[in-house]
Amino acid sequence: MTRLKDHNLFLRRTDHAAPGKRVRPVLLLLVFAASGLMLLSRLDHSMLGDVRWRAASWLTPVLQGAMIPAAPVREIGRSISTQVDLGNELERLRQENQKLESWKWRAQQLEGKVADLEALAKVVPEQKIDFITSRVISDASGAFVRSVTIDAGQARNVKEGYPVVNADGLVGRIVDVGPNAARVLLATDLNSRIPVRIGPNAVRGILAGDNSSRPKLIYIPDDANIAIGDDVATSGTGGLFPAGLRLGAVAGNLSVPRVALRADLDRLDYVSVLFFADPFRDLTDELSNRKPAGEANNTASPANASLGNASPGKAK
Amino acid sequence: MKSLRLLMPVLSVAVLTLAAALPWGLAAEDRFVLPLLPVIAIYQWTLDPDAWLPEWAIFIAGLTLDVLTQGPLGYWALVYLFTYIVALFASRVPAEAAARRMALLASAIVAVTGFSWALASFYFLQLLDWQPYARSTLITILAAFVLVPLLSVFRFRSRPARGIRLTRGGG
Repeated sequence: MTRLKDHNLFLRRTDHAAPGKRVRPVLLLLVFAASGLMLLSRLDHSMLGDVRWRAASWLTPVLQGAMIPAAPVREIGRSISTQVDLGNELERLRQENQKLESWKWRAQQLEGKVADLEALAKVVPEQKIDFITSRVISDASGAFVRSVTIDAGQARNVKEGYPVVNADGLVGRIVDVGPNAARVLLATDLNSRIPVRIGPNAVRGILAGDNSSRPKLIYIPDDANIAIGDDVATSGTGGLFPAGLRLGAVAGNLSVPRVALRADLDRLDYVSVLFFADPFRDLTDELSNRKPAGEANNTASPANASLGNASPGKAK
Repeated sequence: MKSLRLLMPVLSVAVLTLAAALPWGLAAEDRFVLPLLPVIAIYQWTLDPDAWLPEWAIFIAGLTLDVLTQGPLGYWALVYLFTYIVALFASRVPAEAAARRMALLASAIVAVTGFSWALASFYFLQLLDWQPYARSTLITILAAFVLVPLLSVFRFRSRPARGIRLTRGGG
């Protein structure tokens, strides 16, 4: 019996020669460091934001590389979900097609009328906005933030504040720009505020994200006449976004109206960045940089210079 | 080959951390399951006394995820370090049967998700919706049935050859 016990002991010793892991002081140190960083993040320390975005920019090539094997997996998942929902999708498309046929005819009629009226009123032609299309390389949608990273940055003339759209409508706007990557704050993010106009009466309001899939409509006048299903588009107020970018339709409860976005923000593959600079900001910069008379004629303001740089890319 | 064996735990955690930031087309409410996949790897490798997964590597994995997901810095680092602590405690619980080991892992996932919910609620100073967390816990437990055998294969391959050593003069 004693021999058997010894044998057992021997076997155990050789089999588990390495001792079990223990709590080391470095663990406590790291826990304190992580807690400290979280506290600094809570206080919104400016230094952290800068360091974070710089680090994220360094990781861009890694993410681009990781997307190569991930893309087929994602595509397979998408095709499976499409196959599952194919019947319903066909029926929806058939109904939508019928509606669109009637709308197409009406749109052609209206287009002709608008062109005639514009010609009569000598309306200045609307400036077309140039854009680039970029791939989504990272999705940061979670409990804290709703944003994605795209693989286009300063090297492609992407700047902070530019609106980002896809085929379905507005997605968000650029909030951080690195050399080859940029972060897009989605319309559903807690910090997103977009001036909108609602429905045929063009009621003004603000689309406020709250990290849910359907952002809220706030600051709507009390006597506003809005209904479920009314279209919601950007109003252009404040100059952050050009007017008329589609967002979605009013949904949910009219006491707390929300917007069902047209763009599926959970499945963004490619997005387009509109080179839309805030005209009010440019004007303010120009006024603040204006020099006394006599000197102003032979100098260009930084705002003008930046416009000059951007203008060759603008499609007419 | 030896260095690959040594780095296997760190590599597997790094790959899963990177995968958590990629756009997989999941709904935002369901994306919470992705950062929980490294939790399974950290737990499994911590249970293995031979595996080299230092605390600082776990901290850096969490911090990288914080940077990539644009969340508060230190959040996932803290959650992953908590996972490490939970795994240290779990390693002291005798669990020979596979079912018991899986039950321990499921309990660890529940504890870690609960901790991450509490931490996020504390960060916002309000109680967050617990349903996405509960849903993610269930999906992660299901994912563990796939990931644990996969990690065990790596674990088996990365483990150095070990056996009963016969030495001259040994009794």
